[in-house]
Amino acid sequence: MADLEVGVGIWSLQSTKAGPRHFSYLYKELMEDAAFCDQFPTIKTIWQTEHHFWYDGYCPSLLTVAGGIAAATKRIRIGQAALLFSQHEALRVAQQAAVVDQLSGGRLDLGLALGYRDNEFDGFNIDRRSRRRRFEEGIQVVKSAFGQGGVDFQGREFSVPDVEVTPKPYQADVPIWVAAVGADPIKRAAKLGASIILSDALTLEQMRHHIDLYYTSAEELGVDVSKAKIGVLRRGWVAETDDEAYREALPSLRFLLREQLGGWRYLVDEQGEPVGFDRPKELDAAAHRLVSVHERTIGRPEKVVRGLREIAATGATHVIFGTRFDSLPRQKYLRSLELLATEVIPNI
Amino acid sequence: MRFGLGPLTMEVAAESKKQVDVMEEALEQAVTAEWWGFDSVWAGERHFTPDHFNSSSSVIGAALAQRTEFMRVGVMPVLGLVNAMYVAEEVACIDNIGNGRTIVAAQIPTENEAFGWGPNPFSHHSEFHTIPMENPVHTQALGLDKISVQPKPAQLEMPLWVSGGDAAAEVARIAKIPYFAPAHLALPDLVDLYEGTQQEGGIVPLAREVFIAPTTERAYELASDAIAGLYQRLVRAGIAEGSLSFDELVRDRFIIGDADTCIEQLYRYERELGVNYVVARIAYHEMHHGETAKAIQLFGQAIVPEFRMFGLPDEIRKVV
Repeated sequence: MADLEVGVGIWSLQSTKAGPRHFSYLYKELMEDAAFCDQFPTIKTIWQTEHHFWYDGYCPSLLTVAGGIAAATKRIRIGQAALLFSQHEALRVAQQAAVVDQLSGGRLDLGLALGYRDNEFDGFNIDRRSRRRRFEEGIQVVKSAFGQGGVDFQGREFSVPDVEVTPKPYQADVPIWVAAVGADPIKRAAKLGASIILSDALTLEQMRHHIDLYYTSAEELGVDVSKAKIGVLRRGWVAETDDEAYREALPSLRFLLREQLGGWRYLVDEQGEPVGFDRPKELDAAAHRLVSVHERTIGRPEKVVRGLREIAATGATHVIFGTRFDSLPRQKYLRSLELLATEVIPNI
Repeated sequence: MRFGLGPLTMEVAAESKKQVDVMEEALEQAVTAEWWGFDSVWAGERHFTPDHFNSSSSVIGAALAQRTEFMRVGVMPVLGLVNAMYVAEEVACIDNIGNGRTIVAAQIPTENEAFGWGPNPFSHHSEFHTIPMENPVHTQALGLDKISVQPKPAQLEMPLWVSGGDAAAEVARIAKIPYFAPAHLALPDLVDLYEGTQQEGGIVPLAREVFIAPTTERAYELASDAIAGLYQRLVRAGIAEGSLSFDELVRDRFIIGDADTCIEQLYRYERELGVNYVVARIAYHEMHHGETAKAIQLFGQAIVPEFRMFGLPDEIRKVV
C-alpha cells in the first residue's frame, strides 16, 4: 500500500440558497480555516475550487485567493482542485502562479482542469470546442514560462513571442496536477507526466481502473510518472461517533450532490450520461449512489481510517478530504478537521 | 491629504536576497504602515521585467488584504492585455477578502508588455468586448443569455483610478475618474498631465519616491543608492527615461529629507497640482528592512499629522 497524503478541501466560497452568507464572511473564514489547518503538519495541502458566473458566487479566481492564503499561513501547501485552465489565458496563469509560489515560499500545487460549463466559456469569449487544445497548448506555455529564458510559443490557441515571464516560481519544478474525470483526461495527464486528481464520483473499483489506465498510458507513451501523485477527491466528515457524523454531514452532502452539482450536469446516470434538473429521478438516483460511495469516509475516526486505507489500496497517493460542506456550523467542521488531523491521518 | 504606501514593486534588487523574503518584508511594511496611520498600501504590477517586478497585483493585493485590517488596498492591474472580466473577478475576490477596502488603479501597458501579449490576445465583437459572445456552440447552458461577475465586490462602488502617462491622463479626462501619475514623471510634465483631470471635490492622487529620516543628510545617506537603483530598474523595464543625473531626478521627482523638507515638498505638489492623495514608496529593497520600518514610522508621526490633523498646535507639532 502506498503512503497516503491527505489534503483538505474544497473551499468554494459559495453563498448558496440554503446557506446565504456575506462574501466577506466566507473569505475571512477561508483564511482562518487555512491558518487553522496550518497548525497540523499531518494536513499536507488546502485545496480550493473554481467556477464562474454562478448565482452563488462560486469562487472565480483561485490564484488571487491563493495569495491571501499564502499570507495567512506558513507551512501548508496551497492547491487548486481545480483552476479551469481552458477558460484562462495561459500566460496570465503562469505569471500569477509564479507570484503565488514566490509569496508562499514554494507551496503551490497548481491544479488544472478543462472546464465544461458553456456559460463560463461564453463569458470569456472562448469557444468551448477549443478547450482541449487550449489546455494542451496552455500547459506548454506555463512550463516554458516557468523555465529559464523566454517563452516563444506558436500554437493555434496561444501565440507568445520571445518574452521572459518574471518573476519565476520559487520551486524549481512546480507540481502540476490535472483533474481527470474520464479516460481521455487520464491519458492526457499521463502524456503530460502530470499528477492527477480523480473525480469524487468514482467507486473504489472505478478508481483502481482509472489508476491502472494512467500508469498503462504513461508506459505506452514512454513518460516517466514515477514522481507523479495520484490524487482523489473524497467527501468526508469525522465526528466522535458514526451517528453524529451522519447527522451532521449527510444532509449537506445530499444538498451538494442534488442541488449544486445537479445544476451543472456533473453527475452521470448508470449509462454514464450527464444528468441535470431536467431528469430529476435519474439525478436523485445518481446522488444516492454517490452518497453511498462517500459514506465510507464519514464517521468516527476508526471508520474513516478504514475508508482511507481502502482508498490507499487502490494506488491513490493523495486524498483531498472534502469536508467543507455548505451551511454547516463552523465549529463542527473545525472539529472534523481536528479529528482528521490528530486521530485519522496518523493512523492510516 | 491622505497617504498610501507603495506601489510595492517587490523586485529582486540584490542577488543576496530571495524574492520570497522581499515579498514577506513588503507585507510586514504594509502592517507597519497601517499601524502608523497610512490610508492605503499599493501593489504594483509590471510584466516581463528583467528585474522581476511583481507581475500580479491581484495575488499581492489579496495577500495585503489578508495581512492588513483597516487600510485600503490599492491594486494596479495592467489593463488592455486580456479580457477585463478576469480582472473584475480577481478584484471582487480581493474586495471580499478585505471587506470592501480595495481601490483599483488601472495601468496602461508598456510597449514591451503589449508586445508580449500580442496585438489581439482575445476575440471580441464590439469596440471592446462582447460578453457573452454570440456563440453557436451552446449545448448545456440553461437559457441564460447574460453573464454577471459573481461574487460582487463588498463595496457598493469600487474606486477606480487610472495610472500612466499621456494615454492614462486622457482616459481619466474622458471617464472622469482620478488620474494617478506614476512616481517617475517630473513635476513640470505633471502640470499638463493633470490639467482637466481634477474633479471638484474629487481625489487627486500622485505617486512619489519618498524617503524620510531625522535629518536630510541621513535620509540621503540611507536612500540615495536605493532610489537610484530602483529608478535604473524602471529604466531597464522601459517604464522610465534614462540619462538623467541623480540631482536632476531629485529636483522634480523624489522627496528625500527630514520632516520639514518632505512637508515642504508635499505642499509644493498640493499647490501646483491640487494633489490630495500621495502614495509614497518609502520601501526600497536595497535598504535594510529596519530602516524602512523606521522611515514609515517617522512618516506616520511627522508627515501624516501635518496634513491630516486640522488645528494641530505648533507646540505639539514640534515634539517629533
